[in-house]
Amino acid sequence: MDTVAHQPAYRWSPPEAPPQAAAVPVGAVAGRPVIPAESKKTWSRLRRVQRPRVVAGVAGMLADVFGVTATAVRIAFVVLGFAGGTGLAAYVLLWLFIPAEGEQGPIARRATSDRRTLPLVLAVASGIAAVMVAAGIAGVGAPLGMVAPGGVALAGLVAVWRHAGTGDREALQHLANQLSGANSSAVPTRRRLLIASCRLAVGVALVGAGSSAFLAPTHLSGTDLRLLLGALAVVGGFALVLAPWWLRLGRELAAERRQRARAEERAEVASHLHDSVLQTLALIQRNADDSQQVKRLARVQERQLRAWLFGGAPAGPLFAGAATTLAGAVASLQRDIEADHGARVEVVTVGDCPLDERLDALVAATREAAVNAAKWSGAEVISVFAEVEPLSISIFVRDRGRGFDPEAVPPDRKGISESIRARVERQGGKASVRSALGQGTEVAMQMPRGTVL
Amino acid sequence: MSKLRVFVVDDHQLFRSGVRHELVGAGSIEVAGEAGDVDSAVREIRLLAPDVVLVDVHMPDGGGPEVIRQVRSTHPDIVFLALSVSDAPADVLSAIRAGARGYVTKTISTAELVEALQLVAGGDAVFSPRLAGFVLDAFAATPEVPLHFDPEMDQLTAREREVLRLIARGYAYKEAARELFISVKTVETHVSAVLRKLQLSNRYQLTRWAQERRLA
Repeated sequence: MDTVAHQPAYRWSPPEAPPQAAAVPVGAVAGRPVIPAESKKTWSRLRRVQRPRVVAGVAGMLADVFGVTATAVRIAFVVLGFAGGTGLAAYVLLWLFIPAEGEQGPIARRATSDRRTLPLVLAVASGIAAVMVAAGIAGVGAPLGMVAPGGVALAGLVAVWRHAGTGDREALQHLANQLSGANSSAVPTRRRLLIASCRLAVGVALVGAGSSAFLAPTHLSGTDLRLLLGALAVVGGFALVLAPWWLRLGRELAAERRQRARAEERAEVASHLHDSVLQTLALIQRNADDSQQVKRLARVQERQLRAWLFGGAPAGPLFAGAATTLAGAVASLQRDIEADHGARVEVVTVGDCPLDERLDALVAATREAAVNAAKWSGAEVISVFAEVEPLSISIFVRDRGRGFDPEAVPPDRKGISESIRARVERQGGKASVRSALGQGTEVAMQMPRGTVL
Repeated sequence: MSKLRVFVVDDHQLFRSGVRHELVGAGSIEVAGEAGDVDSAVREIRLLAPDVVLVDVHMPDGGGPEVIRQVRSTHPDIVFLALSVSDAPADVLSAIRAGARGYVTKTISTAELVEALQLVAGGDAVFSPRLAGFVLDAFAATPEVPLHFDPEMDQLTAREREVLRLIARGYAYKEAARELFISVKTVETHVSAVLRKLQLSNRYQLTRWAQERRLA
């Protein structure tokens, strides 16, 4: 690890004053030979490359520093990784202590300001130590020098995982997906990442144990058995001492996750209310003099909020999407008319069924009748009642507005009732309009159902 | 004729004062008191014994149904009119089952609200169009012959169905009576009968329907 972390020093000038940045390599290189011809960049200005990158952008950064290709650096890391795991540990430490491009501080600084990360890192380290000691006693483990870098890398990864910025997080998840063979998945989750890392760890351990056993010169003897028991005792001891702490840590992390989920939910609600309710309230204040406009705004917002609260509808634009059932079509008609004409539309539906050609005509006629009532009747409320029965579907549109005398129908009204009737009758239905001066109007429509469902 | 004494229960102060203002302005109604939570509502209602309690379905601590249940356990003659912003069947059903004599939505006009209060005070039931639709829907499906099917309780008569349809179409009782060539009293009798069925029927569909459909 030393080699990789410190080599760049002879090409990068150290800062005039000792850097106050927390990055460990900075302090380590201060006082090394200086090459003034280089740019004024210092260690503290070193940034992990964000694009192109494979994992954390460490190789890209070092490639810039050394003036070689990133691939060469990557190969070096892999080689060092096989040589006792030093490469892996170095990589993770660089990841931890050098900020990414566009980031303020390194991950390490964020990690130290969180009171849970240090215990978590220690927990991982102690777990690894337990396994290591036990393995050492059983004589199957790798030597200390090989396991320690791995432990450092793993513990460092924990800190990276908890405090990585969005770019690093994506890289981690991408990596986990690759490892778990689910790289095509649309939803890379934290859980999958966890499973992948566990799988990887167990796999590596099995391979290690298996190869040691294979390489062992003799078969199990009494001595081996005693060693195995000793190893188990050590693991048990560790577990006994540390288990409560591990458990508590686990519980705290779970609680933290729940809290975060709650916070996210809250944020979603807040953003919805901000986009809809607050906007409407602002509009209402600005239109306070125009009572029609205020009513209209309030009504549209009310519908939207109801749809969101009770209907489970997405919080997106209100009028998006075409309805596929009768009740849905009537509801969208209601929203449109309330938004366009300012009258309140009370809808009652009994039963529901999918739309077909006949029902499309029926809904169109209903819309025409309701728009007509909203425009001409002067009524505050328009009632729409739709009932789906086994053999037919009935819809009534009623207002308590000024109404008209059917004997002396003005030509425009006649045209409308004729057009409603024609629409419905073309599809085999019936429609009638009833009205009296001062008593409102009711349009009654009935459509036989094509197929008995 | 003495004024109708009404008690208002709603956890929104703004709404309470609005309703109080409207009702007092209507002339024939006196607001005996108001409360914003279940405990104080129950206490005050028992103390003041109003003619009608106008109660919001949605409140913390069990809401309107809890108030209705607690008061009716000691004062069965106090009548309740439930009122809500949502027409969610589960809400409506729980208020009616707890013993409310009617259900109206908060968008109701003042005149209609006064009329509804007088109707329930006189022992009649008040259905909003939406509630009428709800009942039609819940009683419409052919029952999967429940174990204890009671034709008296678990079915609507043809006449009741007709009355409910008219209410769902936005007809007032008077208009429905004229439409069916019957007296207003008869319409009220039919609606009260439906209310009783709603309160007492064990119809499985009723609860399932209420749970499954969440009307906005």
